[in-house]
Amino acid sequence: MKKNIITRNSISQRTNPYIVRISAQKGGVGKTTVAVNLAIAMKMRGYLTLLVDADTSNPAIGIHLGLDYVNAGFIDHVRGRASTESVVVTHAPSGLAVICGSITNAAFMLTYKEAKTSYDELKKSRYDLIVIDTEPGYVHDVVTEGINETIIVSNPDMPSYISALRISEYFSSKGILNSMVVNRVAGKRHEISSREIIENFNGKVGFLPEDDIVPISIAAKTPAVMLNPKSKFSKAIDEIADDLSSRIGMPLDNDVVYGYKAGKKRIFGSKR
Amino acid sequence: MRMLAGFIFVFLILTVFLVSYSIAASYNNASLTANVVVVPGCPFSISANVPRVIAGVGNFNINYSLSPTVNCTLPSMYGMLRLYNNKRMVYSENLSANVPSSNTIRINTSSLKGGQYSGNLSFANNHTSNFTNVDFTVLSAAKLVISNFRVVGPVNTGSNINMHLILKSEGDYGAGNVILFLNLTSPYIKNLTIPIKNIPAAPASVDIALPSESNLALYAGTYKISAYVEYTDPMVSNKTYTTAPFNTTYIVNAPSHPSKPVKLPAVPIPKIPKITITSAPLYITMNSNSTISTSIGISNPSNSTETLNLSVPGYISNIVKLSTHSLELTPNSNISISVLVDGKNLSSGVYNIPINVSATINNKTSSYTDYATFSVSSSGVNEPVVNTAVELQNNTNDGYVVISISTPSNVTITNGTAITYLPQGLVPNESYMDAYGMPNNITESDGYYYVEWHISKLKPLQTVYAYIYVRKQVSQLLFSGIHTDILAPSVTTPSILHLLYVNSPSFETLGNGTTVVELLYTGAYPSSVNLELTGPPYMHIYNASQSLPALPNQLLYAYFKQTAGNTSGTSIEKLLITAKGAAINYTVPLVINSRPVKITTTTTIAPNIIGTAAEAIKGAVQRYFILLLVIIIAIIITISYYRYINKPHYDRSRSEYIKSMKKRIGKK
Repeated sequence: MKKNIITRNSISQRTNPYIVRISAQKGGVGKTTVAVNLAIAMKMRGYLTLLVDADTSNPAIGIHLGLDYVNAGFIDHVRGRASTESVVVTHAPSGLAVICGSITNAAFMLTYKEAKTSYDELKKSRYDLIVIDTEPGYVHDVVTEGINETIIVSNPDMPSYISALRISEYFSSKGILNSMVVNRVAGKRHEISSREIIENFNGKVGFLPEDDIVPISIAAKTPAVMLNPKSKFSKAIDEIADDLSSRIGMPLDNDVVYGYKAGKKRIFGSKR
Repeated sequence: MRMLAGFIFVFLILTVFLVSYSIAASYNNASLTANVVVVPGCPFSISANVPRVIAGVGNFNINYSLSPTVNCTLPSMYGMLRLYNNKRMVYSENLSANVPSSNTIRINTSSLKGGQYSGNLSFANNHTSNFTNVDFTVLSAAKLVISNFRVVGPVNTGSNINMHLILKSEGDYGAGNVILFLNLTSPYIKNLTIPIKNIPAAPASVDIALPSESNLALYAGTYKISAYVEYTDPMVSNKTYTTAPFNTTYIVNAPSHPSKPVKLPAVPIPKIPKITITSAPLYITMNSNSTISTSIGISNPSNSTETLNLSVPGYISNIVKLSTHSLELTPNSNISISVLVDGKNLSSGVYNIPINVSATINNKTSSYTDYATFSVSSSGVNEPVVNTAVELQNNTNDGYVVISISTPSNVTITNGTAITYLPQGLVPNESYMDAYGMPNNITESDGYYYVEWHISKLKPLQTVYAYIYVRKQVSQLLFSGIHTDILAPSVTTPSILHLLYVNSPSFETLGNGTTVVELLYTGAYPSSVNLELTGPPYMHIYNASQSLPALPNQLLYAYFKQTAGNTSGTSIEKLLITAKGAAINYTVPLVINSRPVKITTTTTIAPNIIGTAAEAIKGAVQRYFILLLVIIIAIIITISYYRYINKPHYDRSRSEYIKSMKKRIGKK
């Protein structure tokens, strides 16, 4: 597979970090899994990447990366108790910069002021790319002001997809580029077909296959793209990362379907 | 449950299809584009193509093909090529090939000597086997042998030497660049090199009269001379062959007598009262394996009838046969009694053969014994035979020389020359000799009279006679010095009959079998080929004599059906094949085994366990291959089908539902 080679020169022309928000209207669709693996894949492509666990209701990035021992996190940063640099920890195996969530604050609700302060500080940071894993549901308008695009995560079932369309409608109304990653595509008869998904979404659509490497990697606290780079899931993440790499500083091509081509990779049948 | 039912359904459909296909393929060998299946018992045929005649140098190929007789394939058949020469295996090679396939075996002829070869090419596996025969002839390289080298004698001091060299060709290629080397070793050393023309292929035999050489008889005495020949094979470049040396001696006489005749005492013909012996054999020069006829002439000048008895000793009665042993000779009558000498059982040498003649008149018997000297020599198989008989005539005053020239079955002489050498001392001059029977010319030189005979045409197995009547011979002993040489090359005619293959089965006593004969006729014209098989009395040959019409270069097959008698063992049958101008004798060995005696007994036979466990498993897999194939295909189709029907499908109503939901989302 031909990879796009991203040089530091092309990144250095950008004065602010490129911010990607991983969103979903519905919980449990795999936002954190996508955020963690995509951030790692981008880091492996040479981007100075910061992964932020902004899911205040159910932070899990620390669990995914084996950083669950970290106490200071996103809430400390939001409340001004700690600077950005002081809450950033490095995921040693990959060199990824991470701001973990605060597991101890179970009922934390982000106020408008807190959110604006925090996001403004992130926008001033030195990173090439910031991947923000968010909590499900609507967000404050303030967090949409500085982000470059959002990747909406869904599953190939009707509730997830409808909710994904809803949040997509919201981001579109704010003029934010949004694309969709359909996670846990198993190729079963009861799933919504890829054709239906593509037809009804105005943007790029990627597909991540159902793969045992995902629960295994979570149990091993090592992202799938590191645990088994040749797995179906990791290859699909690689394609999404390649597409994101090409989009940083580049125009968006709405006609390209990226990610795991679930319909094409099957042995029997054709893409429907 | 549904998947299991689907699998069974697909399995049954495939089974019916494949079984029907196999049956159809076995009955109809039509071209099919369907998958070719591997059938363990796949019957196949072998066809081999090998040149009938192969040059004796370099490599040659045996091309063979393995073809299935039904639509099937077999991988990695194990095979073997065996080549036999004179029933001895001289070459074998292990082979491996698939069915179907076409392959080539490359054989270097350096491992095969010249001759006829039969071979067997076989392939087999655990289930099936087949074989085919290959037959070919390997031509041998050029080979020359000096069969005779002699100095024409007698030789006088200071005279030129005349030599004869007989070269026999034993190779299937003619020899080129032939050079004769002569080494005189005693009483002095002298080497000569004489180029000779090319020699044709076997079975040619060429008698070469070498040019007269001087300085080879400077002194009187015994000379030792050696000859060998170097030559090349036209098929092999840069290689020179050499014959074994042929050593001979000759005597150079001191110049004691000039060419002027000297009267020597003659051996008189004995006289018997009232009987005159008008002629009697004196010297006979003949070739072994030939016959010659001479005669004893008797006249009765008296007025009484005489009773004559003639005999030869018992120990030579098989060699010398008289035309009669007893007769009444009336007054004033003459009779000539033939004496036939059969040299078949005579080895080379000189024999004095006594012929007893007794005459009885008025109960008074007189006897005498005539001794004839026979000089027997051997010649090559493919050389013309020259016999000479000298009879004394006219009370020893005259001599009658009969020369017979015969050709063997494969030799033809065209425009040939034969020279009869008569010592010059035999008669005062040429006018005392009358030569007739063939066109001739008499000359005199170096102490000899040369009678040069012209032989226009002498076909195979033909005999011509030449006669010289010598009047008033001076020296009876010099009759022994008469000899004849054929100077013209005798051309060997290749046989037009080639026996390629004789196969005789092993018989059981009272059993039947068929002897198969394959031969090639290469005559220029259509002819009939006669085959006659003769055997011992207990062999009943149903069609022992057969006549087959043959066209040029036609392969002929003859089948001799036979029934064996009660005698077991090895017997010999004789096969005679004849065509116009050619004949072949062949000995067919026959093995007759005793028919096994049927004994009704109850015997416990140990189980015959063939093969290993691995081979048994392999055989079982091959036997159930179709079943396994059906099962595998059924599983694949079933899984594919269920994966297909379980994959996500485009649902128009669901898509419409999504669109409606999307519209609701977009409402403010």
